[in-house]
Amino acid sequence: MSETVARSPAPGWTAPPAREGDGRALVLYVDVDDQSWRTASERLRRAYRLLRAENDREACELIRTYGADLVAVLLDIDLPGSVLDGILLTRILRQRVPSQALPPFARNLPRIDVPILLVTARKGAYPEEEVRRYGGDRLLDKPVDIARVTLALTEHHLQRHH
Amino acid sequence: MVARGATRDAMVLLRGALARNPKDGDLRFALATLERGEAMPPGPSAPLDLALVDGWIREGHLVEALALLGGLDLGGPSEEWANLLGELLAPVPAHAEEAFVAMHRELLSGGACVALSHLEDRQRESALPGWAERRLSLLRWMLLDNAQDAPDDAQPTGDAPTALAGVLRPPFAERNLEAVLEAAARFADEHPDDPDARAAVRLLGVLVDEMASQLSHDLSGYQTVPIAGRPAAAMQLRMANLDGAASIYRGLVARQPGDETVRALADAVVGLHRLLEGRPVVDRSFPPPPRDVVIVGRAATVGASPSPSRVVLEPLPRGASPTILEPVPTWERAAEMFASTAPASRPPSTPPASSAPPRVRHSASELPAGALSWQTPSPSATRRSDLPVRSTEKMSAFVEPAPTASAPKATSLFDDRTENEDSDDAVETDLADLAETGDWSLDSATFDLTTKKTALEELDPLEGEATRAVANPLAVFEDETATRLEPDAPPTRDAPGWAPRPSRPTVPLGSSPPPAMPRSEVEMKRADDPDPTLYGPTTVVVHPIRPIGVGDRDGDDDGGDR
Repeated sequence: MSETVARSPAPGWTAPPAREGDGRALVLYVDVDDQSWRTASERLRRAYRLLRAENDREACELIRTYGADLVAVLLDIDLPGSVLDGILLTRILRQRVPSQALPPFARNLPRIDVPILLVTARKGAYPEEEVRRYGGDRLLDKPVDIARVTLALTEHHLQRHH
Repeated sequence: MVARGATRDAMVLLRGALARNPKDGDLRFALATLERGEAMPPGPSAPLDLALVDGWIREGHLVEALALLGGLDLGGPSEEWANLLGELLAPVPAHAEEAFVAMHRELLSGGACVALSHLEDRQRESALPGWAERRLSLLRWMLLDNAQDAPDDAQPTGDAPTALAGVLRPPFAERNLEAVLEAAARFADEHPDDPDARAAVRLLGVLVDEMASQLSHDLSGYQTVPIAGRPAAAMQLRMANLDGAASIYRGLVARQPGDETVRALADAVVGLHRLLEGRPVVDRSFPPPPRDVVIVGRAATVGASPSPSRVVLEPLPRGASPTILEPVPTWERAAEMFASTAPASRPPSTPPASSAPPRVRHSASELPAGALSWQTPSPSATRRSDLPVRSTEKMSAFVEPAPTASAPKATSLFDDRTENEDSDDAVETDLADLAETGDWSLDSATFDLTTKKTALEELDPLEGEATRAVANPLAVFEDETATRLEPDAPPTRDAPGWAPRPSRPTVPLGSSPPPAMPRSEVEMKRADDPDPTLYGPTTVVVHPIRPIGVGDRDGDDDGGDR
């Protein structure tokens, strides 16, 4: 595991879950909807260990802490109650937004090269080409399941290595 | 898939296939077409169903299977299969050990058997983490059909059904193939007439030599041994794990259909398994040839009248090794046909009641060109049955034949012909009449083939000789020592006990529910449904012919990225 930088928690910051030693691949799931979270956690836990962030602030902190250990990021597009939505957060994680234009908690985030999968309950409202243009890898329906997530990650792996 | 709106998943499928065959230009062309958003050119379409997915999983094409399941709703257990594949193909942790990373890389590139070997090797070093243990179980389940959990037939147990199996089993239980070879050699010395004993010595010799060659390197200095392919199979052989070795060899055969060495090793593993189970590897169930059928050398036949009462075969050339279980399609059908007329009291594994010693088949492909002169037909008379036996058919000989709808006609001997159809029609009619009358004599007035051959010989002596050689499927069999065979009386339908065999159900693909996954080896044997990975279907790549510079978008015709 990589060295993590100790930072003072931001307002509203909740402590991240303790690291587990089971060795499953770590995935960050950013969604405020508890029902979606429970379903995704139940479906993905056989192969993935999920970290949950309920808003943009928690997401940024978890990325700072566990960014090097993540194999994927699942972002809700809408993120109600957050300053940054999923699309903007994706652009930040791909470092496509000047740091000066960001709120303080979103500055100096590490660059994320792992797949970013955007999830939504209204898939028809967002064209997938636009998602890819902003740096996302795939648009998935909510609730996600293990097959769709793995298929998206497999596509990313094959595009990069073959 | 594209027509059903699963374009993205179809692209993943193509990427998965490309990971297995990076040089496949057709795949690259199709993927580039989809990436450009263009319509796919029309082509043959395969039914997209669970049977296809099942076959892909068994062949290790896991990415393609997951893409198909993810893109289309195939009903039934498709969702559960997709979730299991999703779990199996999920990325390993970001800082996982190299063995796990290699395992995941192999899984995504079609090397499921190699991935299994990685996990098993890692498991022998130390305990696996929970997720890896789970994936090891999934891989074994998907690829080996729960072979390790199968209570019967996985390893031969109980009383040995044959004396040879009783000799081989004790050293095999000690996981010592060298000792098994020594025991087989002693048994072969004591029973020189037993062809299975000689075959056992040969098979075990092949496997022991393979172990010696693959495991001779000193690997003690390595912490993790990068083992895959034949070394991995040799490791399985050293542990006397025939199922594991067979699985790896099947994967290698599927990926390299032209590798005869791997095919021979796969045949040896399966043949040894048969011997341990007490089943013969030298098929002695076929009856002797029909009386008065003459096969002689070309020099003796051109312009000469052959003796009608004996079959003269040229001796096996020095150095040619006898090959067991070479399934010659025509002969297998002939054996089925004659078996229906043979006395029921004779077990299939006992030699026929003939004065000739047991025969060991020899592959036509192993004989030098000179030794094949008597059975070399002219191009116009070449049939598929006369060509060297394809090695992909070897494994099918281990599958017990299923009963056919009725006793096949004599004309079924020529079902595999591919050329000269017009001239064969008359021969086929004659043979059908011959089968009805039961008169197998070439000199019979009812057999018009003699007249045809005479006419052919006048035009071209080789033509007539070729027709004569084709007329007898025994032309490809020969004994090491005996050079003449005395045939028994020809079987007829009038023989006592003859009855048509029950029909074999023919189920079109996709019309039946998919087989439960996993199926055990026992179920596959009972269902007469061989493991599709056993054959390793030959990949035929048809490259579209495009003029250079015309229709080539990037001016590069080597199948590179567009």
